[in-house]
Amino acid sequence: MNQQSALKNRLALQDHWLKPVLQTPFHHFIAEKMHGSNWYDWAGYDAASYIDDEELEYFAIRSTAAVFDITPMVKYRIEGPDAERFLNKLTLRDVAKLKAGRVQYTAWCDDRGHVLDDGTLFRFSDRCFRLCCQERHLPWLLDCADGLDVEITEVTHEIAGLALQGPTSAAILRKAGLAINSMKPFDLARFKLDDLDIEISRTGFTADLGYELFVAPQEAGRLWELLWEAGALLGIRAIGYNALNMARIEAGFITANADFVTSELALRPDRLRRPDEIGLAWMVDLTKDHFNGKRAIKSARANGTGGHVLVGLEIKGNEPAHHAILYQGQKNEVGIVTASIWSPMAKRNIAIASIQQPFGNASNTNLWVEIYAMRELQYHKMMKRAKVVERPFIHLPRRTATPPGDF
Amino acid sequence: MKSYDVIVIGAGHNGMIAAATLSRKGLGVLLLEASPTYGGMAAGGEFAPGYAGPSLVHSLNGITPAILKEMQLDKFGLAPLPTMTTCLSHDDAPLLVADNYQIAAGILSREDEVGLAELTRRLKFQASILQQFLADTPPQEGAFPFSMKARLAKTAFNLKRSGKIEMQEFMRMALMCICDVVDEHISDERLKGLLAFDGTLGISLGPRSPTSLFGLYMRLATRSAGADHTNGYSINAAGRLIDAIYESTKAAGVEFGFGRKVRAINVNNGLAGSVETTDGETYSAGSIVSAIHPATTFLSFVGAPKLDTGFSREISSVRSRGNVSKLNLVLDRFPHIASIGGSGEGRYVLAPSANEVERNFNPSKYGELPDAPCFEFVIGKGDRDTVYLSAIIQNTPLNLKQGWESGSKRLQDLVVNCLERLAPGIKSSIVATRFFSPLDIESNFNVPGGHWHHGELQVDRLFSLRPVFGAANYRSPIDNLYICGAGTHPGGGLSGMSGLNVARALIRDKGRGGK
Repeated sequence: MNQQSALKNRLALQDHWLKPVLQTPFHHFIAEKMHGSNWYDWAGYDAASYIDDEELEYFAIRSTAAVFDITPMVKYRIEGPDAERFLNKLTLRDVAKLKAGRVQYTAWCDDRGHVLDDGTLFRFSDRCFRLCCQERHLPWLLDCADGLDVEITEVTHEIAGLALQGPTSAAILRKAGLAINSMKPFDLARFKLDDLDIEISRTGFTADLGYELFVAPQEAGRLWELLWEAGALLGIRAIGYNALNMARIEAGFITANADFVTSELALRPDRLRRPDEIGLAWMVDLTKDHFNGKRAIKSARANGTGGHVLVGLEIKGNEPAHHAILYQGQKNEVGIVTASIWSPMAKRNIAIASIQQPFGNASNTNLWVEIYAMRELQYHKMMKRAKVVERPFIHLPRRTATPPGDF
Repeated sequence: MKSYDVIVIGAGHNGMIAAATLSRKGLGVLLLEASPTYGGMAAGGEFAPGYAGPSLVHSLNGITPAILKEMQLDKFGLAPLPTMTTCLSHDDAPLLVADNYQIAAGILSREDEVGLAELTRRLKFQASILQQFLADTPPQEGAFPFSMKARLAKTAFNLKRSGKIEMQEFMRMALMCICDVVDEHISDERLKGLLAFDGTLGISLGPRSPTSLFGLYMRLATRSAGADHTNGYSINAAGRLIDAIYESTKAAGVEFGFGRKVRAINVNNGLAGSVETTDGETYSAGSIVSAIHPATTFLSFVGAPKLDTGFSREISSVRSRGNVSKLNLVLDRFPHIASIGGSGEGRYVLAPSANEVERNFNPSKYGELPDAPCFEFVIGKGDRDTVYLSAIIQNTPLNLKQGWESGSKRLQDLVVNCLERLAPGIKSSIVATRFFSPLDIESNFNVPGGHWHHGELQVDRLFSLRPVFGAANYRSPIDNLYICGAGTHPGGGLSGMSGLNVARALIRDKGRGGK
């Protein structure tokens, strides 16, 4: 037997490498800039953890402009005469208050009021919406539409998206010829450059000035070229998730299945969380008509059974407290850190944490974090005092300035 | 808009019992019924064109003493009913079986006599464990009262005290199939056929399907929970009982609205407040009790958009495809059953063996009719010197592949030819006929799927899971909306317990004033 066919046979025996991982239409542009192969799986797509240096990428968000590929974000088109009614039943906030051309950060729950996911809701017109989120939910959405005249289609693969975030992001768009000056945060608009259709929303995951841009997948290359041409002298840089994650922690934003376990994926009943338990109580609009979980949320509030809170923490020292345990009085376990960094912008050691009530309040002065720091193959155990603080951890006036400045 | 304390939807026995109980507590109750008369599936009316009598029901089982007392039914008089069953077969001699599967000495072989005694003792004991829960309001999440915990603890203790063997046997047998259990004890095919038939009648299982023994438990438990003289087979017994319940309900001061078909239960902000009928009327009420099929209540009247998605998903998954048909024959004389040499009032079952019942069940899985249907029939005196033969035919699926248009005729021919073989000459004595397929039951009695129990009465849909978890304690996720009927615990038949339980739940929630 010749060597080649023997190799072929062996390869055939293990075909896991044939498993398809999708590539976004921006893949080649990103791969070109990447040193190495730093991909992770985001909802079935190859997504960059980092391009070459995550700290430089982070500073691109805060100092110039960063481009992050958000194509893998799960997207649903929701259209029909009952679309608003459907979304009001599905989500926690009042969709009637969401005007066409606006975006709403929202969340949705199951019958027991446990959060299924959070996401953004784009309203294009009276009867046409797009819901963007982390997990896939089509069966739930379709069942929720029972008895309503609305069509729900997953369009994740039909739309390519880029997030452009950072102080020079508005300048880049202006330079590219897009009239975004009048757009306020959470505004949504459609633009046409020659024959290129671009949807732009002034949204992001960074608490910085920023936009999200959507085009048809076959136009992805044109969008990329457009941004790079306009951004060449404005510090544009492609980034991976690690840098974005730093920015979102500073912003105090939560990520599904990182800061809380979504109710469809949770295996253990005590991991389920109601909106009140993950800092989303403000979303719950009990004045609107019935929505999924309303009854359960109301009764949990009435019975005072909100067992946890999700809070921002400021921790002494400079060692990030990754997934560290929280103690009351250095003794009783009362929670866990779900995300943490030493914040370059706030110059503080910050974290997001889930804490059992009643320990998660700002007046608690006896909260401690147990941090294990690896120092040359030995853990250094530290007990650091922590304080519950307001989120976001940073406030940047440029985030909301309208019209946005050049940088 | 007229306003009431309570509106009850559906004047079946459960609806009437609920309405009467609430009315006696001083509430103003309106009872809306789509058809022109009371009784629901047990309603009287036409047995066959031109002949008065009940359309569907020919047996009574398990009206509990609590219902007799609440509805003061004893004053309407309850006469002992025939409880004997005659097992027929084309080849074997007939076998007479009394209530609870008692057979006179000397008929069966010695081994079978011993085996049957042991089998019935065991089944009765195990059914009695379930029987303790039939009258209860099932616990739900967040509604698990101490009394229920105490009941469960007591049951577990009693079971343990009855001995290791009994406990082991219960754990072993509970989810078994009928065939495997009866094969362990008896060999008489006719008797095995009867047990197989009784345990699977009205549900979509064969005697070899796992968990089918539960059907037999339910039957035994319901019957032994019943008061004296409330079990038995008779053309008119159910009708008399329904009449008595109606009289008692009327006497309790309930206002009846016959021919008022409900179109919607208006729910605002999770609160049920009024009921709309197809004639455009709206009736408002402090509470609404729906005594009809849960799917109709929630999906048609309330509507999925007003319900939590998980709940409406569960309700739509309730299996409710009927598989029983009904054939009513009016005869000009009592049939002459050859193997008996005549016939009289009572119940006859043609289910020659457990295998035959299983063979009967097989085609129903694929939407087909059996070649030789198994069925029971009750014979009794009818209108104008006639004789009524009322037959219930098993395993006749709702979704019949050939369609019920042609299927009805075929099934009737199969049954009548079968009867002709058992009782030559019966064909020529037929004066009138009426047939109900599951599809006819659906349209005639407003029961989705035409299912006798308003949803499969199987282990996955009993007690706290009936009709679904979250609505099993007669309350629903809609405030002020209550449910009862065959679709709720303890299921179909004529026990009436869900009607009484829903009234109790409502009174408990709202206080004696109920407002």
